[in-house]
Amino acid sequence: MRLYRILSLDRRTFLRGRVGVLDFYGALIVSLLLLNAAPIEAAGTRPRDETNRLGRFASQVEALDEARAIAVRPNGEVVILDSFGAISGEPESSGFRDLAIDAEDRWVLIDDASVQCRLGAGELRWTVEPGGIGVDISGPSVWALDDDGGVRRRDAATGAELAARPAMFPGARAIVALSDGGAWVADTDRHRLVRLDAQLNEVRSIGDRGAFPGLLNTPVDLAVNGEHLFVADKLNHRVSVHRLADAAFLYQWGMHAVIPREGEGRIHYPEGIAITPDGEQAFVLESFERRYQVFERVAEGESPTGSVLPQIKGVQSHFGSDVGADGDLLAMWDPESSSAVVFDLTFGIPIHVTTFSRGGDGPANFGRIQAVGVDAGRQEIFFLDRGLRRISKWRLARDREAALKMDPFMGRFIRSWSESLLGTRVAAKGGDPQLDLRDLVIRDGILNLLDAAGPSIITTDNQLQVSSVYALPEGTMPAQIAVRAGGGWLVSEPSQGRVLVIDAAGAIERTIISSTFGVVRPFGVAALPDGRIAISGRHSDFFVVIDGDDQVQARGGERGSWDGALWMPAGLEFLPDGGLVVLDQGNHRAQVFDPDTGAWRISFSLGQGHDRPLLLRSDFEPTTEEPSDAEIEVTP
Amino acid sequence: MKQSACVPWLMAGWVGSSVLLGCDRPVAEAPVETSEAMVDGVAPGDIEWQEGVSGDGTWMVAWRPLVLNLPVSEPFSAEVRLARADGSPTDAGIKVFLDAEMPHHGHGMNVVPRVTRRGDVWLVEGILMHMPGRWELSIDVIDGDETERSQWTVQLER
Amino acid sequence: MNVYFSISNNRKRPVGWVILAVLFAVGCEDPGQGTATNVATEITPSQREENATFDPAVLRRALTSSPLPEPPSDATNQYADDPHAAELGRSLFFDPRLSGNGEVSCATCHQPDLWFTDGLKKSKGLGTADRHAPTLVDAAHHRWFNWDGRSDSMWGHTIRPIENPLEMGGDRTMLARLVLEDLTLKNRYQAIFGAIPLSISDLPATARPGGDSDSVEAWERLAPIDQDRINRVAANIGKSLAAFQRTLQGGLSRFDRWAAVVAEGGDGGSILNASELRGLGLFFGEAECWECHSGPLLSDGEFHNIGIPVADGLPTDSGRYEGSLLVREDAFNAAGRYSDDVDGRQAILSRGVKRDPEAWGAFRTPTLRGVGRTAPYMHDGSMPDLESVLHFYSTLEGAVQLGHHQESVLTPLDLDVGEIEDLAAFLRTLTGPGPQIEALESVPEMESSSS
Repeated sequence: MRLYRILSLDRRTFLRGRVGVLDFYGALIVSLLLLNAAPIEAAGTRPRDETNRLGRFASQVEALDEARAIAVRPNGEVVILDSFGAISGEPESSGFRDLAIDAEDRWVLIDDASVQCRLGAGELRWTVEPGGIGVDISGPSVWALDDDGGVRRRDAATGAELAARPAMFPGARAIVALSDGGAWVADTDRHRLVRLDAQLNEVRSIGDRGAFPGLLNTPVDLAVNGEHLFVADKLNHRVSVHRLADAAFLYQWGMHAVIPREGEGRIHYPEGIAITPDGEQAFVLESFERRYQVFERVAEGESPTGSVLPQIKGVQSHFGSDVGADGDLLAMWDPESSSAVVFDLTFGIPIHVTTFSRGGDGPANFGRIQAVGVDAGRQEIFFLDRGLRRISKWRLARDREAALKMDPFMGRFIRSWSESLLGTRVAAKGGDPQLDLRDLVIRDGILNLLDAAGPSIITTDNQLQVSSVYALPEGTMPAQIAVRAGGGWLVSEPSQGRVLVIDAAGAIERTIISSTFGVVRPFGVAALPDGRIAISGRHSDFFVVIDGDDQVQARGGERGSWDGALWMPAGLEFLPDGGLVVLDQGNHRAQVFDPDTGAWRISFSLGQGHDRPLLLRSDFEPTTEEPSDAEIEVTP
Repeated sequence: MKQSACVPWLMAGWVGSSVLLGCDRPVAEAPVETSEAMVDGVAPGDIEWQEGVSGDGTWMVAWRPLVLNLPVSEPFSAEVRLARADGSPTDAGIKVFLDAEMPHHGHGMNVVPRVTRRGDVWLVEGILMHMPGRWELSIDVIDGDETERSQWTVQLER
Repeated sequence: MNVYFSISNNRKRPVGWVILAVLFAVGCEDPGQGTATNVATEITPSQREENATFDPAVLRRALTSSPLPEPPSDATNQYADDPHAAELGRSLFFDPRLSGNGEVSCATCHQPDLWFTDGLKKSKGLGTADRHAPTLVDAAHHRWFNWDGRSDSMWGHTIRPIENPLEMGGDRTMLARLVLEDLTLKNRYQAIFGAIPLSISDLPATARPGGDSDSVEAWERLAPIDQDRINRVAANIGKSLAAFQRTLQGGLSRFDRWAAVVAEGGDGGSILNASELRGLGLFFGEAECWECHSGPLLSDGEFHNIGIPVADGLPTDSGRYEGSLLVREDAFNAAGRYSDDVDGRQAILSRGVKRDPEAWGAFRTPTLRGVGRTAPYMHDGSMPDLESVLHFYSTLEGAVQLGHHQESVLTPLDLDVGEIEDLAAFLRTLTGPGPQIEALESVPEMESSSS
């Protein structure tokens, strides 16, 4: 058995049956929380606003899949947009990107093409074009956010456009309407909140990237109640509460689930927030955990749940949705620290050899990395940075013959190109200069970029000189791309439930309807030289390997946290040794499987990796008995 | 300059594997005309240029500090010169950005140096490497929508 | 997070002292070089071996940390080394008329007997300040002032506590009135700085651009030229106070005497005892104190977040994050119109200060000169003695780390009891005789302009 760092935990000390299916770390953490919760919470934080606070954990509602948005009606009924954009209770609906409900039970819904307003769940008041990604209603105004960051204010009674400005906040994810006709915008990629008046003038902005109180990492949703502005901060894993007038920081809750699935007041990747009009309940959507949590008012003298950090360490890393691998290199991205992590593949178990860069807006910083491409021949790694709207090239300065060791100096920033420069080069080849880049993969020194705006596939050399632009069929909604051996590509379309097989000339060779073999939302794709294709299922927590006739040859993974199980699998790549690496995003690790059988081979993350199972299914199965005090112990 | 704050320093230019060919044409040929006769008590002509090539080989870059020994936690100035590796002229819109980072500590400098162009030389003032140890000094050449870096290792000893 | 005392991957615990012969430690048996005779009684013969076993890098770091030279020149203050300005500053330093209630002077929180600190966890002026008073001794060596570096010159910074309602609660207009009212003071001021083109009848009782609404409104009613003249008086008062504070020098410590002897080829063994030498070895060696407490000031003068534990959950003091904004916006900074070197080295630095969220919770590395006299410690005075500080670095118990999944950036030093004792013993050798200041105990007799 090969190990280079084993978790020194004793499985017998697990606490079982307390919170249903817990992962290995979860058991450890919950036992510690039981021991320490009282003193930690009693210490509390120094509240700046002692009254009228939300944040006491009440309950959680599971089994949602990766929902898109949450809203609450005046009667307290929660309404969800599911992973396909369907409204809960209206299975025939689909494609909505955001939903908001105000205190008068006015509903506004937005999809790619239009915005609509309904009274209650039924009567349609108006529908107008265009659509977008975020919407809210309050008093006289409906505010909408375009997918390019444009902002529009509409008349709430008619939908008529009152003011609009394109591309104000590229990358912004949420907007909340105010009763005075203004709005707050979550300018997500710039880690700040921006106050707009009714004429779309920027009145004020506040925020900076960070984890300390009052700083923001990734504000993705907003809600207003009374004089408070609530911010769902995805990568700070918390809700922060600000004074509505100026967004001054007041308090926070839900701080830092340190292990996946933790819940019970600790939040993991919050995606949405809604507050009842009476301000008595808050609903925090955790799409990634397929649930929402309900929080109530905090009693006087009490602290909100998770208003201080857990005094324990959980997992030490998490990864974005893409993995790049080529030759002896594998690279991923850590969204929280905005750094790249690189593994060497020489010895079977991937070995973490360097981490580089961090968040910021300098030439060598990262914003929000959408995809990672690796060129082992040149030891170059390319990053598709949607946050800073550029493509960056790094090179590893290392002696590939020398013994492997962690080297923080290895990564060298080489060069970057703005997306608009690439757009200009694409236009020179006859393509559309407006780009919405989703993925990047490198094969044989050629960059293959997947563009959802065209939609198109763009190929370039390692100086980002465009060689070709291949148009994809109108309406393609691509997520990830793989390069087929001998030419051509695979493109996944999660929202369409299909994978396109494209030939070297850019023509569709065939369309794989992945739901026929259970992959409802295909995400990661990878191609083997013999024509086999691997597809990961975001919804179904497994991957399949199919042959050229779409016959399933192997299937691996199942929902869970043990070795061989997956939670929200993302990018895929075939490794030189024939293994299939699956980015197991929800378990904060990657795993290598045998593509012939689907069998698990290796689990790894930063600083650890093992090729004999350490985390067994039996460790996570609930037991009925309540633990005695004697069982609540932990081996450090 | 306080003598006590001066330390030995070591430097190593780093160039990408594909760009070594361009190195035979020096960017800065001595003697170099400088905009400052004396800076920090040092005659710039006495200080050697450190030459390198940017990561993708577009630029030949040279810099030199305007102090004899790089100080720990004392501000100093430097000069930068550029030339395109293909010999084409350097247009007026080119910007230069000098920075330094301690990758193993996860931080860089606490200040942004001031860069002013004086003819063919960019004067960089207010470089402050506040800790001893290994720094990676970088010079980014910003040409509109493209940025390309050259990088040197600087070891500041206490 | 931006401070590291070691890199966790590479850190090795010492197994024992590395024995390396140092050339100048051989054949220099006689420690009597004249400079160290007054402490020669502390030596025992075996201690010389400790001295001889220092790694060359340890010795190099130790020797380049001594002596502390004269304070660097301050081009932003043309009066910095003017003895008349210093003398004026000395009297103003002890003058409670600079405060809003006439009872608090600079010396209230910077007491000569307490190494120009106050011995309190958090300083008490008109109210209780948010932070512990840092020493003014040798402070002229700093580049940034206050724990958060909100000022970039000593003179610019003196105006802040005068106007802080929790500290002296005065304001710049009061300062101008005081100078105009007290003829003696006015004459001294004018002899140094020239005439004051202001008339007392034009000045409200209080007025300043920030603070309570009455003061702000009064300030805004003033003509811009009068605002400028008031600011000029305040800046000049600050420059005289700074000229005085530049004279507050700690002097040669026992560590300095040891370094002088060793630098001359002696072994210095009669000056520091075995425990102190072991502490010195740790300090400049693997405890890596020297990485931030570097140079002769034993401070890099910059800002680091060491995760000082907070009692009530989350930290609230953003330190340098706020300080970086304040210094850039400060009317009295090195790049401003009251500076005497608006395009100089400090002005360039101040214009380039990053407002980096990674500086949230970072505070200026304090000098360790005089550290034996400046308890309690840290910006919030939360650590009562040196042993508490060393225990914290040893264990990092309770350290605040707000990164979600990230490892602590500081590595616990894991010191044993003896090592903590040795380090504390060494730290206590860093105190010199201190500034010899005669405090003016009484308010100077006022010669009223109306009399």
